[in-house]
Amino acid sequence: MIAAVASLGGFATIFASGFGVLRLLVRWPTRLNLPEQFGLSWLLGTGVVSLLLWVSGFLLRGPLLAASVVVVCVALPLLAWKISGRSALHSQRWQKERPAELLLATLLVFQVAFVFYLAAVRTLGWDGLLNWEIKARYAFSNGGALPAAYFQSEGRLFTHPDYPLAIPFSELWIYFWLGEAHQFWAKMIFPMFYAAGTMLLTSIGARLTGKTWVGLAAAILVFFVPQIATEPGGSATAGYADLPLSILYLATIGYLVLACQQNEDDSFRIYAACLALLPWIKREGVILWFFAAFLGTLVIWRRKRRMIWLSALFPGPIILFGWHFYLAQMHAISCPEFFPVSLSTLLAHADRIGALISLFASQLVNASKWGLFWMPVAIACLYLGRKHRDFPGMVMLLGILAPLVTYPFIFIFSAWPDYVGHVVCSGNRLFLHVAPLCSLAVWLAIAWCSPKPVASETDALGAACKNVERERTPEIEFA
Amino acid sequence: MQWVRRAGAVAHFWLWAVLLAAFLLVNAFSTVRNARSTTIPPFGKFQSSDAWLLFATGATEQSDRLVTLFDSLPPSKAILILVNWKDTRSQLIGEAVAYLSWPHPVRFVDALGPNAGGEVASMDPASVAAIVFCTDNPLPWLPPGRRFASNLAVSVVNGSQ
Repeated sequence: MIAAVASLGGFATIFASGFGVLRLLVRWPTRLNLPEQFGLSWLLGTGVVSLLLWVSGFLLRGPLLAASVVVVCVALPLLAWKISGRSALHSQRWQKERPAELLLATLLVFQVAFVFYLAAVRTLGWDGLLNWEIKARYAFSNGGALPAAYFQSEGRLFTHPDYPLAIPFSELWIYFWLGEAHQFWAKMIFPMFYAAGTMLLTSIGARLTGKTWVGLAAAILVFFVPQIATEPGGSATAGYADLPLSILYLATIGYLVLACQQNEDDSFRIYAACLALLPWIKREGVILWFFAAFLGTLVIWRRKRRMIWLSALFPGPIILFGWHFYLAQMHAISCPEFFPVSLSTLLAHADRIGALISLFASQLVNASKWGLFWMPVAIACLYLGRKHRDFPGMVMLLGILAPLVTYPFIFIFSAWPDYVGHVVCSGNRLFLHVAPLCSLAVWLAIAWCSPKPVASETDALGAACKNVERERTPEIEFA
Repeated sequence: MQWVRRAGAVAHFWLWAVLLAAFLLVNAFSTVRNARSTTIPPFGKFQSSDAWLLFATGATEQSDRLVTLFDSLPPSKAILILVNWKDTRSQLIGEAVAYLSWPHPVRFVDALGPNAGGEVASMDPASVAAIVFCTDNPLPWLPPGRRFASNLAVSVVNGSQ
């Protein structure tokens, strides 16, 4: 019981820091609803807390380190409140939902509760334990910073000491609150990511289409994808970093599409914050960062925004280079899983291309991992592609297709002697990175491309945007 | 053109109705099957590593016992882990032992390698705290050590404890 209360303290401080950052980012908090703020606070909070623990760990250890992070976590929302006044505590007014939407919301709540139950009664997967939790455990035993000996340990090279720290240091934060390393409580952060993801899917879907049921349906759909939610090796219960990365990528592209559709700054700021954290979750986040940054640049150019908005792309590389500089200072050894990208390597391994396409295609139709998920996704992509003049739809489509097309080809550079084994080992987890976004795309295709008068509503700014426009007054515009 | 729009709407509706019904039908089965395949492990701070060791060795609650043993050894001394890399269970045990033996440095030795005996014999006893056998057949000329399971035994090097 005490452990449950202590871990709640850990969760609460993560939310507080994320909420503070969110409120410092957005200028119109009344446009965000409560579930949306919950989801974003969790995503940003885990990023903030893990970065704070890592950076503060250069100077502080043990209770001092924990206390300094608590102070920042509490100070961030207070600072937001001080800067933006009472509006910092406001959110979008609760709208009366229709009975069908209430029914869908109830179903979604049961699904999320079930994922929490599954996470509680299952154990961490092998990688969840030996790639991620191990870092939290060793850092906790060393007062909050990973020991240099760990980075140089050849015997523990299989635990990938060079993987980034967002997930392990979020677990470490729970350990600080518990006062001990505890594998049960560490895994409870993953269903929180799932819950955050469902709330963001609901909110983004509802804001893009102006229909709450679309967002709810997209969130409900995700539960039926075994690789995400219920499969024993599924990321929501096994402690892998792929689910958090997929939720962060959903938020990144989702808010970019919102910024693009509604041409508003707040969504773009949220996009920038999520973009910065992509490389901090997992190494593959760098690939996702590249595509999301390219799409962000495209939106800036297409919407004729000022070049200063390109500065939104800087924090991600700063975090990435900071991490690699730190690894170099620690003399970290690594086991490269990929050869350096070069033309000679590409030519030497060009014979793999056919096999890779065939392998990845077989992974997509793996019934135990995906069921029929990719079939509606493929149709949805055709729908979105057909609406090629609709720029937000194209951003969404590129955000899905770019990683899906690229991932198979990175294995041309696989350094594993058995590259087929490498694909089998990680292929499905890579596809997971775009799965929540695909679920959103399915329902957007249904709603956006519906040949009803609705299409005319969504073409210009979208129904949700019109609601926002109605909220604006001359005073607000002037301010 | 009204009939074209209407036909489009009907086609759109039925396309997605069929697609989503097929998806739900197939995936609901997987979801139910996955949900039913859960066996509840005992609650504890080594819940996951215990479960993995149970799978690989058949013995319960090994993590705490192993940690207690490793904690009693000088932390600067290494743990030598003999693993059969061709046996997934042996590899799994070896990696779990490496995870639990922090802050000891660890070194893996291929138990079936041509030079396994030589590698162990050439070790400096002053730098090694224990030898862990993650195989059914430990090297015959070494002391048997403390057996945690049929395929997991730890032999403490003299003078380390």
